[in-house]
Amino acid sequence: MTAGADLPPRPAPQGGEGDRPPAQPSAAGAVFDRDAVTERFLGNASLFGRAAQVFLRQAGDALPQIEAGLASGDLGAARRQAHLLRGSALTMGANRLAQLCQQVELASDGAVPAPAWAVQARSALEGFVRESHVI
Amino acid sequence: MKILIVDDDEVARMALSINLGAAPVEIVQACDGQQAWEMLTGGLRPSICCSDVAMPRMDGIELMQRARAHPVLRHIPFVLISSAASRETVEAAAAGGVAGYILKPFMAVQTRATVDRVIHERRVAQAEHFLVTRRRLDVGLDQLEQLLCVLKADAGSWVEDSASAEVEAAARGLQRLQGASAVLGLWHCASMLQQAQDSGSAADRVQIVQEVVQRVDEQLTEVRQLSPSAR
Repeated sequence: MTAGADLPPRPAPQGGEGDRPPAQPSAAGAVFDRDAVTERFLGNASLFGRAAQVFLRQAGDALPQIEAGLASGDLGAARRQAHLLRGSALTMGANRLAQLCQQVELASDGAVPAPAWAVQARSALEGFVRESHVI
Repeated sequence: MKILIVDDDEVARMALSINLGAAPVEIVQACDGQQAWEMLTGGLRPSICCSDVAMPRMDGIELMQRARAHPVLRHIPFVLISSAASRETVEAAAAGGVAGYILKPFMAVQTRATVDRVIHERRVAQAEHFLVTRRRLDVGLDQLEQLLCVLKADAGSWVEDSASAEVEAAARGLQRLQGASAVLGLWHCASMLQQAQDSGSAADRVQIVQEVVQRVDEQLTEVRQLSPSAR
């Protein structure tokens, strides 16, 4: 490991009604792919944290724009934003969010309902924040 | 040594910088191909350019193609880093002489291995190791340093005199510089100086010799970095 704190450990599973569903076990659909991020950021939590702050700012800007593009039928604008966000999401190990962005990139007109997509995307982003401990 | 990272995604630039920026590497970042092109034409001379493909204003393929058409920038190796690669993109990258291709999301180990390989290949193609040159010429490191200083000064004088020099004198100067570069194991300088004699405008020739001054200076830095005890 390089200088700086290690990335936080995987959170313990939680039970009880009202708890969020656990992250998907498959790395491809995981809300946070810890192993890939540990390798990519050389295990350094400080460096990862700095990149995560930028990513959250990007996602905060992009998600409303993608939703608006889907809702208004401006699929071109939605696709451009989704492409950008997917790249950042993959780098940060936010694989579930990246998959949702890819849905938009590949979608035909009207195939992705904006409200449902936005709910899933925000849930994926919240899952990333929760599991990566970036805030 | 400088590495130029070109990507419109700030997160990707940060992650790549972390992976490739260990000392003594200096990372320079550009947010798209246009900004990178302005940096390169403004005098930036990275050892390698790691560029995303799809970017606004100017994409990575166009950036590489522009560099290839430039008398000095044509020798910068490009590693393209992309999340998707269409057949057209791969073909255009191959036609532009791409040195490496990395798929996003990149893995640190693979990225460093690819960049290290490309930098090593560039070094080998550019110049003989100075310790080999020293042995081949049977001179001490101090003498080799002096010879490099003379070459650097000669190339600098050629640039200064280029505006007023007669065509034949300038051509003889290029020939001399080429011969000295070859003797000192600076293969890339010799090749660029041959290119300057074969074709190109007067402005291109000046740019090439300015580049030679910089490359000789890089070799001098390497020689001087060797500790006195190792001499």
